[in-house]
Amino acid sequence: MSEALIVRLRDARAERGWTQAELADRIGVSRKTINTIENGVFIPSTVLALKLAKAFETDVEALFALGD
Amino acid sequence: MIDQAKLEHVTKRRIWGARWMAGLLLTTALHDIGVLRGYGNDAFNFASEAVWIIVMSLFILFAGGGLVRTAAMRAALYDESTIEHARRSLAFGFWAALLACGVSWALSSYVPIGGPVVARAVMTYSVAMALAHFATLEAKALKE
Repeated sequence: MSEALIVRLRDARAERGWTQAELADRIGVSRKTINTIENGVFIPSTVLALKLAKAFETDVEALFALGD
Repeated sequence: MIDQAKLEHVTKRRIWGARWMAGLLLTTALHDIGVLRGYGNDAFNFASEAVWIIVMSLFILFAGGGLVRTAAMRAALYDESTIEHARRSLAFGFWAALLACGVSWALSSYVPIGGPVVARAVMTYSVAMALAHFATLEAKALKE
């Protein structure tokens, strides 16, 4: 399942110039969690995905997508 | 706001603590099955149990449990990836317990080992494996 998920979190973060720690601080999680999501090791819950989307002022689909 | 640097420091301490506890538990498991010298020695047993209680208390209070931290810090210490790692570690411990049971069963045909000793050794070993796996997952997650 994790192979099919495309994560664009790192790109979105780079566009804003945020560090992992800054993003983690904005949504109240550890930097470790952001790191594991970016590396595709951990798939976040719906709540956390929505929090991430809110932090970037975008839709969840802009950050996460299903691969073909 | 969470102090991410402090959070990372506590997480690293938790990893260190989990590894230390895993090592201690493995030593206890070896002691249980009589591999280590000192088996049956009261002073040795008392010393190992005292160390175990001290380490466990320090771990719960200052690292893993985060009992003396703020609510935000505690929440971040137990965020989604940590819970996922704990869940995976428990599953790992389950398979380790099954393996240990199989090995014990095979060994019991050749070595005279009692049920209580095997039960204690299997439980201790599986918890140690779960802790070691948790520490490994957490350490990997910290690396960018």
